[in-house]
Amino acid sequence: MKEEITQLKKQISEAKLRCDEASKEVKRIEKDMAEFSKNKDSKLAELQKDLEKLKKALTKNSTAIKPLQQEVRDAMLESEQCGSDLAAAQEQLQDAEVTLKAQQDEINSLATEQTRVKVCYANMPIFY
Amino acid sequence: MLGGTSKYLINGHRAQQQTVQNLFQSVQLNINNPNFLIMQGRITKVLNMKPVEILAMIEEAAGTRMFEDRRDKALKTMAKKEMKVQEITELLRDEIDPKLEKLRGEKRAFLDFQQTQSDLERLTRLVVAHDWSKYREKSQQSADDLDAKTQRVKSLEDSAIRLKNEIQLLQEDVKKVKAARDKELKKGGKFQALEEEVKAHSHEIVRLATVLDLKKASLTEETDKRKKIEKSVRDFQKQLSDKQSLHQKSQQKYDTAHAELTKQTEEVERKEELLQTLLTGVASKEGQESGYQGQLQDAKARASTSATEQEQAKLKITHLEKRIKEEEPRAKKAEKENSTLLKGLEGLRTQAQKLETDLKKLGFEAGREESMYQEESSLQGKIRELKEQADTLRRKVANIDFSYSDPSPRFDRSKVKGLVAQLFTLDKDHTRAGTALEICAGGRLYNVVVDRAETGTQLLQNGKLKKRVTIIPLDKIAAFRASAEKIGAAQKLAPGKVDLALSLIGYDDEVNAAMEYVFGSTLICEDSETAKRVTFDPAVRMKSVTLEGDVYDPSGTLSGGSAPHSSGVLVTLQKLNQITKEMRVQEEALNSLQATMTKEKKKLDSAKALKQELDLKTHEIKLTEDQIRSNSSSSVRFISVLYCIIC
Repeated sequence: MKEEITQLKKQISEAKLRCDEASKEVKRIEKDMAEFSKNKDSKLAELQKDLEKLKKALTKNSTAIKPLQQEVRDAMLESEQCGSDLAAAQEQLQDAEVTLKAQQDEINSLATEQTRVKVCYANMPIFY
Repeated sequence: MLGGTSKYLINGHRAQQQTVQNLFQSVQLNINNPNFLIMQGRITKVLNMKPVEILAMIEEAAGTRMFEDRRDKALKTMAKKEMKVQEITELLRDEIDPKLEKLRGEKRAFLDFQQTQSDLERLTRLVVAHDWSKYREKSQQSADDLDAKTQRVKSLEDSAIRLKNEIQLLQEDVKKVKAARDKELKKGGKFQALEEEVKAHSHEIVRLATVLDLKKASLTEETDKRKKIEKSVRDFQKQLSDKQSLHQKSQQKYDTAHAELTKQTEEVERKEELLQTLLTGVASKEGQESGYQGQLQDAKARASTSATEQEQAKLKITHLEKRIKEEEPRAKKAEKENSTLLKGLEGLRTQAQKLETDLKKLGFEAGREESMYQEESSLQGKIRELKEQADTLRRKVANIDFSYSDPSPRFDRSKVKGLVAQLFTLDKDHTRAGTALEICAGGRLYNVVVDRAETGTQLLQNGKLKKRVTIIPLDKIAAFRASAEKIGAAQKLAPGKVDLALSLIGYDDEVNAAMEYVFGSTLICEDSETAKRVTFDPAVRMKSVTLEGDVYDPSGTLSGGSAPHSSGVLVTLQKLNQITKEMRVQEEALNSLQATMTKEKKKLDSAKALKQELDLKTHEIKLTEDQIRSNSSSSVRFISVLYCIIC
C-alpha cells in the first residue's frame, strides 16, 4: 500500500504535467487558427518560411551527423580489436602459468632427487 | 731707651715690641694710631678732617683697623705657603710619582717571579711523582708479561707433547685404515662395489645438477615471458578501457545528435503536413486529420486523458484513506493486546545490551581466538619446515655432531660452549673466505670449547664421549693474536687484499680466547701473489691462506692443490646456525603465544558462554519481533507510516 500510494502520487504529478503541456498546446493551436482565419496568406507564407528554415537546419544536421557516425563505428571497431587482443594475451598468460607450474613441479621433484642422492653420497664410507 | 735701643717691660718683665703691641690691641688700644692721643689744639684739626680721614679715625676708635695689618701679614704668609705647596706638588708630579710607578712595576714582576718559581717547584715534584708511578706500572706489567710468557712456554710445551701423542695416535689410525683398505682391495668385492656406487652417485649428482640448472634457466625464461605477457595484458586492458570510454563518448554524442535530428525531421514532417493540409484542404495521409483541427483534437485528447488519470489516482488515494480510518481502531485494540509482548521484547533487549556490555568489559574480540589458533598452526608449520631444513644440513655435516653425557649430576651445560665451528658467524660479505678459514682452522675447527680446564677434565673422564676430541679451556688456553704492527705492515703491502682471519668472523666476547687461538695468527689473502708477498716479508713473517685454500708458511712450506674433503662445511655450518637461530626465535614466539592462550583461556571460556547467551537472546528477540509483526498490531505502525506519507 505504501508503494502504491507513492506511485499514485507520482502518476498524479506526471499527469498534471502532461495536462498542462496539452492545454498550452491547445491554446497555441487555437491562437494559430485564429490568426490563420484572419490572414491566410501571410500565415501560409510564415509557415512556408519556417519550414524552409527547418529543412535547411535538417540538411546541415544530417551532414554533421555523418562524421560522428563514422567516428562511432571506428571506435567500436577499435575497441573490438583491442578486446580480441586482450583475450589472446590472457590465453597466452594462462598457457605460461600452466607451463610455469609444470616446470616448478619438475624442479621440485629434481631437487628432492638431488638431495636424496647427495645424502646417499655423503653417507658412503670413506677409505683413505 | 737705653744705649740707642728701646726696652719694653710688661709687669716688670722684659718683652718684645710686638708683644707689647698685641697686649694693647687685646684691650682695643692701637698705639700705632696717629690719633691714639689727640693733643690739645689739635681738636679743630680733627673736626676739619675729610670723610676718609674721619672713617679711618672711626675704624681706629672701633678697633677694626688693627686687624687689617694682621690680615695683610696672613695673606703674605698664605702666598708664601702656596708657593711652597706648588713647588712640592711639582716635585711630587715630576720626580716622586714616576719613581713610585717604576717601583710598583718592579714589585709586580717580583711577585710574578715568585709565583712562577713556586709553580715550577710544584710541577717538578708532580713530574717526578708521575715518572715514578709510570715506571712502577711498567715494572709491574713487565713482571706480569714475564709470568704470562713463562706460563705460555709451559702450555706450549704441554701442547707439543699432547700433539705429538695425538699425531702418533692418528698415524696408528691411518695405518689401521690403510690395512683395512688393503684387505678390502684384496677381497675385491665390497670395496669395488662401493667405489662403483660412489661413482654412480657422483655421476647422478652431476647429471641432476645439470638438469636442474637447465630447468632453472628455462623457469627463469618462462617467468620473464609471463611477466612480459602480464605487462601486455595490463596494457591491453588499459587500452580497452580507454577505447571503450572513447566509444561511449562518441556513441553518446551521436545519440544526442541523432535524437535532435529525429526531432527536427518529425517537426519538418509535421509542418509540411500542416502546410499541405492548409494549402489543399486535404490530408496527405488518408483517414488522419493533420490540419489545425487535427492537432487541436489530439492535444485536447491528451489533456483529457491526463485529467482522467489524475482523477483516478485521487480516487484511489481516497479509498486508501478510508481503509486506514477503518483499520485504526482495530489496530489500537491489537496494540493493547500485544503490549505484554512488547514489554517482554524490551526486557529481552535490555538483557542483550547488558550481555554485550559484559562482553566488552571482558575484552572479547570476535575472531581473536581463531586468529590465535591460526597463528599457532602457522608458527608450528614454520618450525617444522625449519627443522626439516636443519636436519638436511646436519646430515651434510654429520661429523661435527658433538654429544656428551652429563659428567656429574646437575652439570651446568652452559659451561660447554660447543665446537669451534659452531661458535662463530661468517658474514655474508665474507662467505667466499669460507674455504680459506676452514684451511686456516684445520683440525681446530672441531675442537670443543669449555669455560675452564676442570670442566674439560670432567668431560674427558665422565662425559662418555663417542669420539676423540681436543678441548680448549678458555681459562688456560694460550691465545695468540698477531700484533697490530705486523697486520698493518701486511695491509700496507697489499691494501684491501689482506685481512687477519680473526677479523672476518663474528663471535661472542666470552669465546674470544678460543677464537684468537684458532684464527689469531693467520692472514687471509685474496690471491697467491699477495700471500707470497706478505708471508715472506721480513716485517710480517706470518702464515697466509689464499681464498682458494693454498697455504704459505714463513718457514718455507707451501700446500695447496685440490679442495679438501670437507670443503664448504663452514658455509653449510653457517647456514645451519642461522636456521637454528631462526628456529629458536620461532619457538620462543610459539611458547609465548601458547602461554598467552593458556592465560586467556579462562577469559575466553567465560566470554564464549556470554556470547552463547547473547546469541540466544538475539534469537529470542527476533522470534518475538516476528510474532509482533504477524499480529494485527503491526498494522498500527504501518498505518501511522501511511498517514505520514499521505499528509
